[in-house]
Amino acid sequence: MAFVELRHVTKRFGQVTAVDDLCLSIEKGECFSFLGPSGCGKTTTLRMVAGFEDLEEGEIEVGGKLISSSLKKYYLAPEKREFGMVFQAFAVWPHMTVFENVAFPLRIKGVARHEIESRTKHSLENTNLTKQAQLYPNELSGGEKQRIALARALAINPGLLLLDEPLSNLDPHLREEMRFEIKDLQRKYDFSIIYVTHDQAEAMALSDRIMVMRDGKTQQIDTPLNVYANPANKFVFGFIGLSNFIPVVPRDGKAVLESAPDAGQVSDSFPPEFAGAGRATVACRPAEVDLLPEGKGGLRGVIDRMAYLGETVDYIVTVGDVEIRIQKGRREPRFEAGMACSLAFPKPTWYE
Amino acid sequence: MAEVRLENVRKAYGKKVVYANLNLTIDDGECFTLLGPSGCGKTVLLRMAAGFEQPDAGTITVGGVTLSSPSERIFVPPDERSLGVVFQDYAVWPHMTVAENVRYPLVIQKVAKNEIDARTQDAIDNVNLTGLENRMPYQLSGGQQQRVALARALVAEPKLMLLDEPLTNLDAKLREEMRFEIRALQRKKGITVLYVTHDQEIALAISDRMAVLDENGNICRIGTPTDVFERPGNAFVFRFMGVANMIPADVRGRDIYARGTDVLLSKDAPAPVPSNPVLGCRPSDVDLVRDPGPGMPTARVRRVNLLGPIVDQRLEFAGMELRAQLDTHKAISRGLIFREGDMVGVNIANPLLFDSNTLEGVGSHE
Amino acid sequence: MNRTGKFGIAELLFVLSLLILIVIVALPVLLIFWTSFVVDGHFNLSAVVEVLTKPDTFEALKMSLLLAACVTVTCTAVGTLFAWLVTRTDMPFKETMKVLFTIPFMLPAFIGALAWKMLLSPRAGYINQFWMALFGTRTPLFNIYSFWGIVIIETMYLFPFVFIQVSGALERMDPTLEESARIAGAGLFTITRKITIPLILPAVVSGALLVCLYSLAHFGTPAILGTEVGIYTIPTKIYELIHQSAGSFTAIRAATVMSVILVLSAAVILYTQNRVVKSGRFQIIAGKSVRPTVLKLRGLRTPLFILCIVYLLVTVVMPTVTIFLVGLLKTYGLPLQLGNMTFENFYYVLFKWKLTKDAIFNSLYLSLGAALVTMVAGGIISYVLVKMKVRGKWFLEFLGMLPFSLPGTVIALGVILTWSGRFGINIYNTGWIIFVAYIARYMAFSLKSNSAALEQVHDSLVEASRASGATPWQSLRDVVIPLIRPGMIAAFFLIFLPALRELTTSVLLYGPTTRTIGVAIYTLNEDGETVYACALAGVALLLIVGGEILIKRFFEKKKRLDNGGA
Repeated sequence: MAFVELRHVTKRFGQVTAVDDLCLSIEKGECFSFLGPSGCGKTTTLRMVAGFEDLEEGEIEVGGKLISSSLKKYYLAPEKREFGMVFQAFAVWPHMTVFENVAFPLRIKGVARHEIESRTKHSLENTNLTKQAQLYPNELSGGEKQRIALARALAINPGLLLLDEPLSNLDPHLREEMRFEIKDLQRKYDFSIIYVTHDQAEAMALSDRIMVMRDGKTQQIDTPLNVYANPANKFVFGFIGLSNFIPVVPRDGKAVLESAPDAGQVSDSFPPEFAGAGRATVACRPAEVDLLPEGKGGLRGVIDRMAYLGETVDYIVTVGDVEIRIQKGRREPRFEAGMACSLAFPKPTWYE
Repeated sequence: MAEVRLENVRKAYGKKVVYANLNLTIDDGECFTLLGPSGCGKTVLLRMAAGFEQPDAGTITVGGVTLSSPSERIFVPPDERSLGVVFQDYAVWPHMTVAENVRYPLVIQKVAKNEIDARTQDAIDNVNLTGLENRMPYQLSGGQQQRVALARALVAEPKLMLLDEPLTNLDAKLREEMRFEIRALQRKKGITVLYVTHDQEIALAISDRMAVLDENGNICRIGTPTDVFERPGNAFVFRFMGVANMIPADVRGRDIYARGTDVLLSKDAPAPVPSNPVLGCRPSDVDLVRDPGPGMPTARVRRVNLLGPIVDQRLEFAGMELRAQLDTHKAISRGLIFREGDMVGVNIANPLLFDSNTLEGVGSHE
Repeated sequence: MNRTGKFGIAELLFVLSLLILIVIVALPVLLIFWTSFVVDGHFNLSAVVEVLTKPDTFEALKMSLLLAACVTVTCTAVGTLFAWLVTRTDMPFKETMKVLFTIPFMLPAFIGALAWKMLLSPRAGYINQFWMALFGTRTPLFNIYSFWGIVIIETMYLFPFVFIQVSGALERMDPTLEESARIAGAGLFTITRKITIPLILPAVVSGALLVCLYSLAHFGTPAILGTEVGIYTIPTKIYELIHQSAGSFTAIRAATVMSVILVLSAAVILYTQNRVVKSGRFQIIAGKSVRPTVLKLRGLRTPLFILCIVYLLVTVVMPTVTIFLVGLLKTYGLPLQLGNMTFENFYYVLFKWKLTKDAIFNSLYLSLGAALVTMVAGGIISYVLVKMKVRGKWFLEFLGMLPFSLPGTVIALGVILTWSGRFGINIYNTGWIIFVAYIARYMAFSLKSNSAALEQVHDSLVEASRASGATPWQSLRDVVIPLIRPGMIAAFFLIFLPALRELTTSVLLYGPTTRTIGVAIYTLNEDGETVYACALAGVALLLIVGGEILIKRFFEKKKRLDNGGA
């Protein structure tokens, strides 16, 4: 029995189905991400788990206890669910000190005074806020504010922590630091995490499993590596990282570009399942394309743009009217803009 | 000719000295970037070049003409310097249409009406805004507004163009697009460009040459992007340009060891050996080996982070944290994604040696 | 900008700004203080104490404070309640209601007082008459000539100060601040008490202080409803002193002493308000647009909705209708029946009677002139304050703060002291003295609007034009002025409309041929010419509503332009 269970959850806003028949289970201690573009229903799903939204259909169970059920018209109030939650805009209370913010959930719960004191101190230590305990949030940076929110969310030792894009208001290096902090705390206290984000790198770095969503529907639920290496469909492929989608047609059993059939082949075979349609798309990541000196590979092109970015070198190669983006590490041979080159696609993924 | 020379320039605000004695030459027709952390005074330099600020001492000349020289009581105001300037916040005039914004410098110069029209259209076409001539700025996206600013800066065909973090407020995709466009326009027109930014990626991508400034406004390194990135010659520059591993080291003979251990990092120490050596390497220079041979340094894998196209693995190595990064697809195909706790072999390619007292690099550069 | 100094533009503008503020604002205030504290060339505090302890001045002082305190409390209660209803509950037609609740702002309180006098004066008031006839009694339902009468009328027209501030704060507040408290285990009651109320408190207090300030300085309502039964406030007492003493020095000194009290109270209130507003800046806007939790009123929904409608009917519709109906009556006192109605009064007031024709004409040209001059002067001063780096700017900043804390009565008195020949210029009893007073009175509005507009004009916009080859003057002409033009036009309307209905200041300054609309309505009412007073008030209301509609259109257009601004 999983710790969090969503069964056939559906939510509509007027005519729009925000979440469509979603089924999902999350294990105890697992870090689970909802990943998708804005408007895909990930935040709505999170808000249903939190209890801020009712369900049109389906039910939600956490820790073996039913908390939302459309059939029974039963919704446990958010304040009774005993989850922790962190919001994008920090939502720390500006009229309370850091200490008061973190102690608030314990006070509400009626925890004994001395215990509030010690537990709050402990939470503040965990999030490196001991020195700032008596300051007001306005005197603190964005990163510190978000740590207050985190400490406050964890003050009551919740079994489930809900995170709604908590890092998107922070600058990049703080984001990485906070990610590690969240992960460390999770290891220490073994709570489950539901993490909502539109940033695939963030989801991959943090999660045990990811659910990719689009238009309220699940696209794929898998480990980060599998989502990246074996995307379930073209949408997931495109969403999870920079991609090339190259339209190809068959010629003599090989796959070639429609606009430049004489430039060579993209692949030396054409999958039989697309033969009937007479066209297909080859998807590949910019780092997976082999960039070779002229004449060494299957497809001949010209380097249109080159940008040296330090760690990586970025190329755009044009073949016919197709632009193919390629990224190479700094330790690989370099090409200059204007040079002719050859491309090979060792690991093509085929879509319609 | 628009060679820019700053000689013995001094600038202070009250007691805060931004530049004690700055000397810098930007060649004619080159795209030159000033890269540095915020507060290093790079914008002040640009504003002095533009004439929005007056240096306290020293001279600024462009194409041989002295524009600022307090000792000679010369100060040419910005409107007489024939510049193009692009600002971080676009500074597109909100009460004028795209075309009115772009043509304004020509109107001020009292260029003939039909010539104004032709050149305005040409500038607008150049930045791919054709068709939007009569839009008001509020009807444009951030990227389009910045293109208006770019067209306005270029329309009077200045010899020198100054860009102050013009891409910071754009999203990643647009930033990349604009980067290419600025570069292409600069090449096409042969203008000298002084570009100010704190974003090392843009600096690397756009520059012919670049200067890296530290927090105190000292120029630490001037060179081509590859020079600066691969041969930083200075520990500050090395760290500022990207993620850096810094390992305190001992040098015995020509062998470099992790300090206080027998872990051999490199067998090729440059001379002279600094008093307090530190070995620097990029995460992409740390090669991991699944079954280390005898004598190879080993590390324990502590964290594995998939960052999309890159796998970032953090190791415990000689009592320190060492980061290793590799292309995800290569890591998969070569079986180099490890489990936490695995012992792996470590080989450091392209090690750099710095003196942690002076931050100076040793050997290989220049 | 280094080069502005070359032609001395900076110095010129700076000196000009200083001059305007000193002559228009600082000098009058200085003279008030001088007159109060200096007797025969010597500093004399005991004379001040003597004035303040005289029974009638002391009573007026006490009454003013008491009145302001009560009005503040009632406005806060009413304004907060309505603000909460239209933002945080499931009341029907919330958006429309939000607009309707700001209408009382448009109605001049003294016209409201006039209307309510006709409805609720103890014997002649229509409602009281109806009540007495219905129950065959001789005790009226409510006597509007009373302390509570004044409190109620002022509350009706001043509560929007609180309403606007609080509803704004409730709307801007990030809903996740409340949601995170729910997640932390707090119920709705606890959240309201511990989170919502503390967070909107700065807005509530700020609105309340504005009410307090306005009520302290307000002349019309206590003059119309209080004087008759011997209730005096500081402004009405000053009016009485000035008018009855025919310029005797003792009377003027007593008036200046009371003015000093007004100025000091205003300064304290504004200072506090400033502090509170600053501390309230933390209400950040949400990162995502999540709708705030809306309280379901359930069974109370309809009753509360009806309450709102009734409130609006009573405070807006009833008095307006009364003004027009009485304005149509052939003679005051006749029953409100169609047979007793005629447009004759309106015709007479508009086209035939010199007194009212003069008043309308005076108000129009004084408002227009004052608005134009103040708009430009405020623009110049704001430019120096916001955009220029000049030595001694702090002094200008200090002077620029002054107009904000000067009640209308004080300005009138200061202007009398300054322009009655003391410096060789005597414009007393002419329109010019009112003109000068209006400039001082509305300078604060102009500074606020112009500074806000100038702050939007980022330095880089000017630098961009300099880099394009434009000289400082060309930059000013082509970039700065076009960009602040909407702010200046806004300032114009913000001055023109209130000036059109001004009473507090003009009532102390008018001469035989220089009545303004407000003064004319007030004096006609005093003289028992009730139907003409109402007809003129009707005309004033039409002018005001017309103007408000214009300004609204203008601001909507401006807002659309602003939305895309960089």
